[in-house]
Order: sequence, then structure tokens, then C-alpha cells
Amino acid sequence: MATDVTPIQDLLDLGDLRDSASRVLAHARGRGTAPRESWNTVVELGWLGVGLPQVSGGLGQPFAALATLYQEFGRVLAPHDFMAVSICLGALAGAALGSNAEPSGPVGKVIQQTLAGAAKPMYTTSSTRDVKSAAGRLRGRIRNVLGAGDASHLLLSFDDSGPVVALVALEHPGLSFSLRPTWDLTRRLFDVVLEDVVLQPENIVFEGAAAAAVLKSMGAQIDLALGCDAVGGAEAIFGETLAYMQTRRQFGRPIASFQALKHRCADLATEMCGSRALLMAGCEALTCLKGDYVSVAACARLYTSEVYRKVTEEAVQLHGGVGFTWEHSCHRFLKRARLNDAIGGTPEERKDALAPALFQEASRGRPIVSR
Amino acid sequence: MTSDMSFRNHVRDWLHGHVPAGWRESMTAATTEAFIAQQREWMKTLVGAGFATSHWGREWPGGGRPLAEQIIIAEEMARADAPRLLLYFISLYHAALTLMEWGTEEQKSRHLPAILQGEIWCQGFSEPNAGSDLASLRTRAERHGDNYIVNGQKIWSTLGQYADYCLLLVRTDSAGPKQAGITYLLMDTRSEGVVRRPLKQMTGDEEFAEIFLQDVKIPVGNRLGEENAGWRIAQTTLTSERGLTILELCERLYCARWRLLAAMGENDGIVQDDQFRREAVDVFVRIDALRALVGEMMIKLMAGKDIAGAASFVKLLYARVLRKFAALGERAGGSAHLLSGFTLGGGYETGNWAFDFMNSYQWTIAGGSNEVQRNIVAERVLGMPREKWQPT
Ligand SMILES: Cc1cc2nc3c(=O)[nH]c(=O)nc-3n(C[C@H](O)[C@H](O)[C@H](O)COP(=O)(O)OP(=O)(O)OC[C@H]3O[C@@H](n4cnc5c(N)ncnc54)[C@H](O)[C@@H]3O)c2cc1C
Repeated sequence: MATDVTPIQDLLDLGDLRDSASRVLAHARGRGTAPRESWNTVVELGWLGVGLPQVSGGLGQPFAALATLYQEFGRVLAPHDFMAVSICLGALAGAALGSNAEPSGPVGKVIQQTLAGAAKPMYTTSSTRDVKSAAGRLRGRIRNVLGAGDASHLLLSFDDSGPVVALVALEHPGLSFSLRPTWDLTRRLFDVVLEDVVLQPENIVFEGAAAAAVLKSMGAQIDLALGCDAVGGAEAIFGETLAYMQTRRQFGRPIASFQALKHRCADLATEMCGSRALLMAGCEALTCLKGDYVSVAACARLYTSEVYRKVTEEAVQLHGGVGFTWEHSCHRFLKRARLNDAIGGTPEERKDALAPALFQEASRGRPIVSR
Repeated sequence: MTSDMSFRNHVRDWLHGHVPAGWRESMTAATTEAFIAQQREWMKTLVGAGFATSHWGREWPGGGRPLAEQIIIAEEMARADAPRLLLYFISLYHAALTLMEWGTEEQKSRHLPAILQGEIWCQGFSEPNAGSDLASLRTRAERHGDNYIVNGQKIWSTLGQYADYCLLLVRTDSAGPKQAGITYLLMDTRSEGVVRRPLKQMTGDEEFAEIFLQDVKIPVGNRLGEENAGWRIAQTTLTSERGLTILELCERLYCARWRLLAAMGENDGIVQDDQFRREAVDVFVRIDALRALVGEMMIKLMAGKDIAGAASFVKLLYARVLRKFAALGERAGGSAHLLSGFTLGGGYETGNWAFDFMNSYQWTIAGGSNEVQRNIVAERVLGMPREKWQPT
């Protein structure tokens, strides 16, 4: 275990947080899948509590702090667990506070266990969610859930004359899961099957309007978290690519001196700069619950994911043959970027979902002809 | 962007009462004379209210406003869809800011008050054989007593045919490195030997001009800075407007998004065509990203910091999204290919899509082309090796 790292309680500065995370995660860099013991590090350094309110045992930091961590996890292609757990924890803490529940109540207990490293409740991302509730029983299948099999609990949502969010232990009767091997080696996808799952009252975390609100917030958080993942990953592989281009020589000069390649790199850098600014605006909007933060988060995810895909595609090309090999890290980034863009549906579906709100807002600028 | 709501409200109220009603209609398919008259009137109005010179020093009427307030003015101009001050753009930014930094007291007192009274300036930098490689310019100036005698040709000078004065770069020394032999002169465009000819642009608009110079006498007193020190001074001119102009243009594009939706037949947020809907989302996302970046850049500027390469990044992003915006409008707006009158001084998103598309080339060519900006990003931001070309 890394002992030279300052525990998070002393940090407020985002630059320090980034440096600390970058040092801790350095050993995972280039390996693809981070070793299991790295979760213990996450727990010990208190990263899970970064965004939690202080009464729930957290540090009450704004979303920007989490965003900093998500970017660092993205840089080293860490598994998905951290974002799924921290988003889930945030929702649970909201529930515990909202109901004035005893910290020893079931939800409070899971929070405490998680902060102590004894539980791993996860928010479920999915491309299709087909869960039906009938006569108090849940049936259905949730496809392509990131990390589910590595969780202790899953935060599920379904409709039961209104939205419901429930926390269900992985060993809950009727719940099963199966691994779906992916091209992306850095994360694990699972199908979760529910067969006559009977929920107890303590499983229900949110219902009705409260459930709708938390689903909305979690949706924005996962968009921004994946946006951070994209920005961190794109910066990492872009940096590697630039460094390689300076050392690789052909025709008696570094390939970085060919203008055709310089211009492609400049284009990537320009789009990275723009998409990063949008991501930061999204993080700020979420922190301040400013305007239509859900739309801004969705926009940020769309753009950063697209740029991540482009950067990783170009990285392979700019490396030449070595970029096409299994040994080189290019393909790990490429595969992760492509999976990122498919999580929770296609980019086209996300654009369609985003369009009405975006367009209604945009057409408000239309002058009202009164003369 | 800033919490100074009372100033914002003041600007907003003022604009509400002063933006000429129906100016877009009257400037569409208008004559050049009508456009010039409108610009003079709008300049007078803005100067009178102190909104044309917020970036000038505090000793000037309307000047000395903090950047935060300059930003508010730009944002509100866009929001109110006020006409742009095209005719005075070079006067108020390039000429004024260069004079303020490099001019003698005499030059400043001769020209700055005159600019407030409506003196029009143009920029005579580019030449037929000196475009991206501006420093290779060849218009020659020879010293004869108290005058320079200038011979050569300038080209692409925006609204040069209407200008009273010209910011002129000339060669005074050909011996050393090309940048080291350039001198900066202030030229009265009515001097003997100056011939200006408007050039018709691809849109049909005569928006720029070529300037022929034959034995033009320019007093040494009209030299800015020392002889052969013009290249450095030209950098002031070329960087005078970046941030605020782009900010205002981004805001204008943002406020004009409804035009694209109207072209797509949007109704209550719904665009039926899948392809158009998704491409519009792509364009809007890029507009938002650009505004976020410009906002970040402004906050840094206010704190006296700079984002490396920011001017190139925002120019490239703006040029690209503007092109996409216009191209998409052109495809979606059914009658875009039918010839129709364009709006003079109406900015880059007038809703005359074919015109807007053509006009968007200004942003990929002028003021450092896209390719030149990419060179800057690659070499100065990413640290990639400079181009070395050996003439054969
Ligand atoms: C609408 C408009 C208004 C203008 N207004 C003014 C004005 O008021 N005053 C003024 O002085 N000038 C003005 N200009 C001129 C403008 O600054 C030049 O057009 C610009 O610098 C490009 O120069 P050029 O036209 O000679 O093109 P060139 O430099 O010949 O470029 C031709 C092509 O080659 C590319 N190229 C050139 N060098 C490189 C390189 N090193 N690497 C890669 N590609 C390269 C360019 O990007 C371009 O695609 C204006 C231009 C336009 C279009």
C-alpha cells in the first residue's frame, strides 16, 4: 500500500487532489485492468467520501473534486467501480438525510460499510432496462451493466405506478448475473436477471417525485463522470502519442515535424480544449444546480465521447505498426473510448433524447414579431 | 458571467430603446450608401452613450471600463441583435489600440478624438504576394528628407475604399531578416498617388479593396515607432481585438440558433428529420463548448492569466462551427439556393444560408488562416518541430 500519500482530509486544492490521485494510480497506468488491491487504496484514501455530505461521514466537496478523480481514473484506464460506487453513495446519502434516517438504518449501514471498504453498492448503467413489477415481484433483464458482478449491492430503478429506486444485495433471492466479455479489457459488463425478486420495504430507497429527482441527478452525474473519463483518457493517449512522434524518426526527421501530422494533432488539441471547457461548465452547472444542468451534462458527454473516439483512432494511426499491436496501449484506449460511447444507448439515442429541451431553449431566442 | 446585474440592466435598457427598429429589414438588399449612412448613425449613437469605447483608456469618454463590463456590453449587443459596427471596427480596435500603445502624443491627439468623430481606418498589411507570410511584404518606402516615398500595392483591405486613414506596413530595409526591415506608417488615403479599387467578393458584396501606391508622400511624423521596428507594432494591431470580438460573435451565433431550427421546421422542440435533428444537436453542442471556452478564457484574462494558444483554439473552433451551422442551414432551408438579398452588416448568421456559408470563409482565411492557426497550435502549444524549408 502506498504510504507516502497524504490522506484526503487535508486536501481541498484540486491540483493537489489531482497530483495525489495521479501518484496513487501511477502503478496501474498501462496495465489496463487495475489490480484488485487498488480498491483498498480508494477506500483508505477516503475518495469515496469526497462528494458525500459531512454528516454522512464525507468531505462535502463540490462535484469538481469528484470530476478531478474521475479524470485521473480515466487516464489510467481504471475499472468502472469508482464512479458507479460514488454516484450510488451520493444517492444513498441523500436518502439517509432526506428521511432523517438513523445512520444505523439499512441505508445508513450500507453507507458506513462502503466507507469502511466492506460493501460496494453500485449505480447501474445499462443500455436496455426491461424490468417489470407485478404483484410485488420484479422480473426482467438489465443488459450491459458496468461492473455489476463486482458489486455488493445494485441500485435498481423500475416503474411501479411511478418511478422507484431500490437497493438490492447481489445475493438477493431471484437476482443473478452473468459476465459478458467485451473487447474493452479495462472494464467488465454484466447482464443482470431478475426472476420474481421480492423487495422488502427496506430495499426501497426512493419513490415517486424523489425517485424521479434522484434519477435525473444520477443521470447527469454519470454523463459527467463518463465525460471526465473521456477527457482524462484522451489527454493520456494524446500525450503518449505526441511523445512518440517526437522520438520516432523517418526520412531523417522526427515524424512530429511532418505538417500533415502536426495539423491533425492541432485539430485534436483544439477539440480537446473545447470539449474540456464544456465538461467543466457541466460540472459547475451540476454543482450549482444551474439552469438545465441535465442538458449541459448530456452535451458534455456527447462531445467529450466523440473527441475521445477521434483521439484514440488517430493515436493508432499516428503510431503506425506498433499502434496496431496488442502490447501497445493504444488499443486499450481505443476500445474503452468506443465502449464509453455505447454505455446506456447509442449517441444517436442520446441526441434524440436531448434535442427537445435544447431546441426549446434555443428557439426562445427567436424574436417575437410585434411590429 | 458576472454578477454586475445593475450595469447589465442599464445596458439592456439602453439597447432596448436605441437599437434601430427593423434595421435588418432595411439593410437587406440595401445599397452601400444606405449601409454607410446606417453605420455612421449607429457609431454616433454608440459613441454618445459611451458603448463604443469601453476598451479604451479611462481618459476617453466611455473608456476605462473593467473587462467584466466590456464583456457585458458585448453580450448584450448580441442579445439585443444590435447592428455590428463593421465600418469602424478597424478604427475602434486596431487603429486606436495600436496608437494608444505606440503613438506619440501628437499622433494620439490628432487621431483618437477624430476616431470618436467618425474617422474611418483600414488595415493595409496584406499584399498580392504577402498573405500568410506577411513579413515578406514588399511595398517600399524610401526616406527623402521629412517624407517617405511609398510604392507598392496592398490588397484585401476591409472597407478600404471608405477609409480616411490606413495602417500601412512598408519595407524600409531588405538586407537583414524580413521581419527586421518593416516600418509602420499612418497614411492619409487621400494623399496623391493613392488609388483604391473595391474588390467584389464571392457574395457579390464589395466589402474589401485593393490599394495601389505610386510615389505616395507620407510625412515621417506619421511613422509609428522607430524605422524598421514595425513588425513588433503590427503584433499589437493583430492581437488587438481577439477575445472580445470572438466573445461577441459566439454570443451572436448562440442567439441565432433559432434560425437553424426555423430552417428545419422545428415546432415546440421537435425536429422531425432524424439526420437534421442530430446534426443540429452536434452544432449546438459545439456552440456551447465554444462559449464555455471563451468564458474560461475571459475569466483567466481578468485574473491576468492566459490559456496557451487560446486565441488560435477559439478562432479555429468558431470558424469550424460557423461553417457547419451555415452548411446545415443551407441543406435544411429549402430555398437557400434561390438568389436573395443579403443583410449588410448583419453578421455571420443572417439566415440567408448560401450567403452565410460563403461569408464564413472570412473566418477560415482572414486574420491567420486555419492552416496557420494549426501551425501555431502544433508548434507553440504542442511543441512540435518547426517547419524547415530549404529553397532550391
Ligand atoms: C474577407 C477578408 C478580409 C480581409 N481583410 C484584410 C484587411 O483588412 N487588411 C489586410 O491587410 N488583410 C486582409 N485580409 C487578408 C488576409 O489576412 C489574408 O487573406 C490571409 O492572411 C491569407 O493570405 P493569402 O490570402 O495571401 O493566402 P495564402 O497565404 O496564399 O494562403 C493560401 C493557402 O495556403 C495556406 N498556407 C499558407 N501558408 C501556409 C503554411 N505555412 N502552412 C500551411 N498552409 C499554408 C493557407 O492557409 C491557404 O489555405 C482579408 C482577407 C479576407 C478573406
